[in-house]
Amino acid sequence: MKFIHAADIHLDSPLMGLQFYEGAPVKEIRGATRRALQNLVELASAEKVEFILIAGDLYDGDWKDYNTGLFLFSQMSRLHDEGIRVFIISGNHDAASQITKHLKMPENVKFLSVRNPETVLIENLDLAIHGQGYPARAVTEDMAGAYPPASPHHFNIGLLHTSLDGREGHESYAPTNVAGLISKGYEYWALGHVHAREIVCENPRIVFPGNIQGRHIREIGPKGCMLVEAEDGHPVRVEHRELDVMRWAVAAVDAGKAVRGEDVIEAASKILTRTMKENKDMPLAVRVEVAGTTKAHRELLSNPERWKNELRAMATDISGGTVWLEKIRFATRDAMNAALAAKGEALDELMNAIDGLSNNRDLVKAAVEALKDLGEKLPYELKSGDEPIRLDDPETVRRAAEAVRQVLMDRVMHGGMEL
Amino acid sequence: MKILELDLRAFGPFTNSKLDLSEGREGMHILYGPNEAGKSSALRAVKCLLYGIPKNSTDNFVHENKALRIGGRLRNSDGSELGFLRRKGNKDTLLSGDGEPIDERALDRYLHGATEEVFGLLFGIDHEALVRGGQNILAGKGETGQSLFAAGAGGANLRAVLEGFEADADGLFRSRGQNQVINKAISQHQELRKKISDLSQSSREWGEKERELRRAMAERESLKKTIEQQAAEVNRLRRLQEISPKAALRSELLAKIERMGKVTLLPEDFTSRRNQAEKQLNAAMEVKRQAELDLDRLSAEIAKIVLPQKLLDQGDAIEEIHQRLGQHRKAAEDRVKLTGGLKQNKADIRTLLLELMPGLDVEIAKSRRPKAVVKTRIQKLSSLHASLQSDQRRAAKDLRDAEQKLNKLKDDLKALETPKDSGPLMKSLARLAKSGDLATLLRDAERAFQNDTEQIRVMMQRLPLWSRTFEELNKVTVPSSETVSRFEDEFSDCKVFAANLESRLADARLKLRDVERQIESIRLAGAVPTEEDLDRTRDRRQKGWGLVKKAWLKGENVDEESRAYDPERGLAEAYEASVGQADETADRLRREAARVAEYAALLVQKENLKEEIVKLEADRDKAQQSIARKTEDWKSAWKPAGVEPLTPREMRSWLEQYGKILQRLEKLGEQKALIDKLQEQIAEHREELSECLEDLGEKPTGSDEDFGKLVERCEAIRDKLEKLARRHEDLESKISSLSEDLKKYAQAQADTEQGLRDWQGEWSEAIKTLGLSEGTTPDEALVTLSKFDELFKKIDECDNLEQRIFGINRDAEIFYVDVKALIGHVAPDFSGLMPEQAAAQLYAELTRARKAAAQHGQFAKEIEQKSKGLRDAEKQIALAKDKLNNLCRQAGCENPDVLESREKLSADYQDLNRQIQMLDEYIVEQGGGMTLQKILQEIEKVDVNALAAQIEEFESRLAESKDHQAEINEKVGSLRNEIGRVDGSSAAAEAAEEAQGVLASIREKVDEYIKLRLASLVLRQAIESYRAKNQGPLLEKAGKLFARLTLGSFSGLKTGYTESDEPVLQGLRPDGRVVDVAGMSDGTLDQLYLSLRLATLEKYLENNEPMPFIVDDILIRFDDDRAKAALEVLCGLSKRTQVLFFTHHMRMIELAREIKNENGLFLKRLN
Repeated sequence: MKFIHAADIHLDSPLMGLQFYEGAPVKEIRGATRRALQNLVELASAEKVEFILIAGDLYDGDWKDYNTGLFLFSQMSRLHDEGIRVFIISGNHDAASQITKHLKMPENVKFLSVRNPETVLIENLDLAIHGQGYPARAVTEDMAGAYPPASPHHFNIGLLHTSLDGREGHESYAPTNVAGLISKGYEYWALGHVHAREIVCENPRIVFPGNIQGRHIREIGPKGCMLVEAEDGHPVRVEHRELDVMRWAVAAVDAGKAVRGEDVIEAASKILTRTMKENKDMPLAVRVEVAGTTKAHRELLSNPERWKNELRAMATDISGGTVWLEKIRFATRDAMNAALAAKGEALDELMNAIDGLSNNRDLVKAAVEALKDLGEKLPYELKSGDEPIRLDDPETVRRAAEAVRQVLMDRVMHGGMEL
Repeated sequence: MKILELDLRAFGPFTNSKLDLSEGREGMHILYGPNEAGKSSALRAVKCLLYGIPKNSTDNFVHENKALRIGGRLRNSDGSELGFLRRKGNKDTLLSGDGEPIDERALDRYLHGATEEVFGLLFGIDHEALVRGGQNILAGKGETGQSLFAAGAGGANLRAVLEGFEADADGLFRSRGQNQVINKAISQHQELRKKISDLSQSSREWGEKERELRRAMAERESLKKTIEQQAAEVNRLRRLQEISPKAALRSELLAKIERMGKVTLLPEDFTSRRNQAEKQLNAAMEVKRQAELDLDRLSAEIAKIVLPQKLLDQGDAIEEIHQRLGQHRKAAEDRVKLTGGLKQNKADIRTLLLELMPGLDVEIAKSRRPKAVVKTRIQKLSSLHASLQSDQRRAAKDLRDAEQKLNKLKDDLKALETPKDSGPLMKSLARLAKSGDLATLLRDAERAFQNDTEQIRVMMQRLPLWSRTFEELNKVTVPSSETVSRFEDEFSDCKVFAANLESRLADARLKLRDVERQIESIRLAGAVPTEEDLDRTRDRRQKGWGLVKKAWLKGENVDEESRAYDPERGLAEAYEASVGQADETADRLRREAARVAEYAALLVQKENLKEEIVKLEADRDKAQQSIARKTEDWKSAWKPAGVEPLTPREMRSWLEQYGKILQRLEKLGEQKALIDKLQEQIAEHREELSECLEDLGEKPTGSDEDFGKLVERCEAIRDKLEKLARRHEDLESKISSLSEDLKKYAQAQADTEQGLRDWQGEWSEAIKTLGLSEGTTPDEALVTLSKFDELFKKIDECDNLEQRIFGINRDAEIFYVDVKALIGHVAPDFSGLMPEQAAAQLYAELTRARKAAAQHGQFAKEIEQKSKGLRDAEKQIALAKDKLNNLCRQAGCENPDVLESREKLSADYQDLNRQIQMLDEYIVEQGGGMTLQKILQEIEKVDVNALAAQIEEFESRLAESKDHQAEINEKVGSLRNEIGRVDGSSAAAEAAEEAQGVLASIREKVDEYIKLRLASLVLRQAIESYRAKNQGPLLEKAGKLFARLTLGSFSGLKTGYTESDEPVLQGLRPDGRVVDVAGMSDGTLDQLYLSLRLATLEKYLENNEPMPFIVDDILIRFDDDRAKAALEVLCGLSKRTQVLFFTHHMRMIELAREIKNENGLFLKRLN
């Protein structure tokens, strides 16, 4: 018996944090979640699986476009034509989704009940699938607790959308624990909700397959589903299959040996090339983090925009336009040991003032005040989420200190004698 | 730290050049290097020594990059020293004295954390930085904080920096802006949000629409059924309406049939069968009657005919006799003609015999018939003889003609002269032809040469300043055009210079006159007192007072001196007067201070102008001398050419012309060479041709003969010789061919004569056999031969005629016998007739008998036929009667006569039935699938009259239904359309992706914005706090320096406040007046900035390890006094830290020498 376990499709949720620029692989990201879902369907067909389990979150909760539902329908219809059944529980996002309420699926698709744990018996496979969908967005009680014990003569699968005993970056829904799941005596727990792939327990298998397509820089690495083969009532092989069409990665560039900006580009180019190779040249969204104590620090920071552009151009160049630099962070330190430098009292005063961004309450207050106008205008998407911009937060001011130092040094310290 | 030594071992222009900078406590070192002496390189060397040689260093123009070395020795204030070398490279550039790499950190102790950049900012100042610093203060309106901070941070234009931050931040975002980067992106994001919402299809709406669609489709389905039913009903009623008249007709027909009662139905072909049978019967009866009539007539005819059988039996024999009778008659006629012919023949034979063989009998003559062989031979020989005779004649003629012709040719040849050998001449001429038309070429060349010579002569005549021949032209040397250009430039420069001086002189003189006029006008307005006047009057007063004191206090006699003092007046008076004069002079000086000043100024001006005029005149004279010298140089440049030159410009065009003539001359030389060559060639050819002519015995050429003519003569001779040779050859070949012919003709004649001799032998023999005499000619022999032929032909004819007459007589005998025998057998009564007659009569009888027999046979045959016809007719009659009887039985009647009426009844009945059947078919056809029975029942039921109204009603209901259907269809279509638009499209999702992109870019720009806003904020904070802390002490220090640098023009600096209460720097005059920076001159601003810089540095040195202060020619805008003051200030600074003062200007050295060297001022010259 062969089946696929997937979760967290989040169909049509956009990839985030990708700023458009000349040469960015715009086409590669378009409809990424849709194409990943198509990959899932193709995999099922190619592997001739008996059925597919989807452990919740087909859609993004606040996404309303019915087109998304119809696309899902078309993919499920393809599975129907192939004779592949699909068992789905709705997740927190689906419970919130309008699409779920209105879309009727083809007859090969079975949504398990949201009111009570439901068991589907498939006698020709000696299979029992237990599960319950989310009746509402937030489920705070242990749903698994109410699942029935294993059926003795079947291969038992538990389908559950949960954060287990808590996973970073994920809201705590349907909390439960491994011991509780084991106690049910099932052979396989197909979990969803947590976007990072994790085999929580080997025996029985308790598995988060992760989502099928990474959507931002916190969802790096290959994404896909679990292909499970079971014999004699036990899973014998559980392997991850990649479905993503665009992958997220972080390239940490050590600028320690760099003397000039060009050296940093070269170092980044090597790392990017390696990252591309590791990912078999598939389209990538890469965050570049340049760090290290380097002589090139001043050059980089005095015109970060230029070096960002150079890095982007390099990435476009070496990848043939398949790599998108999501963000470039310069976190280098000055090799000149600026802290020890004699600067005369005026420059010392300037450095003190910069340090004041961290500890001078009046200055911080003034800084927050200066940014207030912008704060009011920013779209709420930027002010919320995983990386919110908080212009009223002293921490924001503090974090900016190093960049402020560089721009000041760059612009103020011009007027000395050219020897 | 102090630099003790700078060792320029290999750097810039320097090689092993050491600068000892150890003198003095810290020491002020003035490093002087004129331009190109390496001042800038030395300056750079200081920085390179401390911070490394940059990658793109330009100081490698003498020493290669890898050979570059700068050495140095440093000392810290604690006494520690470090000596090292610096090389160019990426790493390990710091070397110990013996060249081993040492750790860069060893140097850190001496640099005290000053980075390269900071070093340049705080411990270095050049002229540019100085000016920039001063201008920045002005640009910042002297804002105290900014000015102090700028001086403390190396002179940045803080105002520009602050404005830059504001402008950049404003470019990114403004609270109420629209076009700023972030503002724009935010509104773009809002648009995208709207777009997503527009593109998103609501699930609920979609569900509702789908339900609506299902309802509409159900309604459409039921409506369709209704329409079908209504249409069916309308159809049914229409059909009934259509059918009802036919149904009525049908009923009527059925009634008719009813009335006919019982009817025997006859088959369709019954009538035709009956008609046929009747016709058959009638026809057979007629045939029978006719046959009986014919038989009676024929029997009567045949009985009348009698047949003579005996005659008929011998028919063939009679016929044969009759035929032989014809032949018999014809033969009798022939016999008469043949007998006549025989007689004529015999007479001819006799005549011929008499001529040819007189005395011979015919029979004997027969044996003498000549043989055919002999005859042929004679004919053949006769014709041979004729041909031989003709050959003989022709041969004789040919021979004769040829001999005549040959003789003529031989005579011609003899008359012709012998040709000479023209070969050498032809070759010579051919060679000449190859060389071309030399005569013409030479002529053209000579003409061109003359033309050009003439032109050059004209050009030379036109060339000014030249009187020599053109042979000399080539030999002289003239200056090059570059030289001329140089002179032209120089002259022009000199002249411009002189003119300039002249105009300045004129200006100065004008000014002088003006000044003098002004002085005069002041003087005319009254004497102007001068300081000298005052001094003089005061001296006089003093002197007077001295005499008074001498006389008055000491009681000395001063008469002598008094007289000398004033010869006119007494001492008291004179002294009083001198006091008054002095006072008045002083008063006037004060009172007329303006005039005095003006007057004094004018006097000074006048002096200056005079001086200037003298100087200008001297300059002008110098310039004119220089022009004169130039002119001499110019002339001497032309001396070798022997030309007295005009201006360079004119001489340039002269040179051009001269150059052209030279070019032409060169060409002329070429032409001359060509002519010589042509003439040489002609001479060669002339000699060759002349030799040829001599060989041919022609008149040789003399030098007076034109070459062209000579060539023509040679060509004529050649042509003549060629023609003669051709003629000679022609005659010889003709004679030779004719001699050959002659031989052939003689042979032919001999052959013919031999043939005639042979023929004569054969001929004699042949005519002998014919019995002719020897002398018989062939023609005679031939005549005789033809007569023999005629004779023997006649003899043969005679024999033939006799034979034929005998046959005819025998046949006549046999015919008579046969006729007699036949008559005896058939018609003995004819025995009295002549056989010929009897035979003819018999044949006539036979013909008649045969005619009768044929008629008898004819009749017998007809009788037979008629009898048969009669029998057939009888059979037909019986058959027809049978048929009629059968028909009667079928129709159920006895008598065939009633058959016809029976037939009509049956036909009527069937016609009615057919009509009914057609109606039934029609009804069923119109009945739309119902059975006939059902239709008829329906019609029974309906009220026919109400049908039309009913139909109308149903039709209108149907139309209503259809309208409704169209509405529903439209609704379904539009719903489907709307639902179809939701097709799983990813447009909204794509817009969402785009929105994320915009958010990402906003995020980045926000970081940028934060950076800029905070930078501005922080900088302002730093400036303000720096001001607050340092304003007092710094301004005090700087004020003192400023007073010194401005030589007391200012007494110090203070902080004032603008209307908006901002603190600003102000200069303080000694009299307490306050001057804003806007009111300071550029030089003063320089000094203000320098004061601030030095004050900052002094303050720094109070708390920090000293660092050398590098100064690069900052004093070039200072006047001497202020420069000296500045040097003194720097000397003062050198007590606390080393000062390295680089300069290009000797004046600085001079000024420095004037300074007391107590502070340790050292001069160094770079070389």
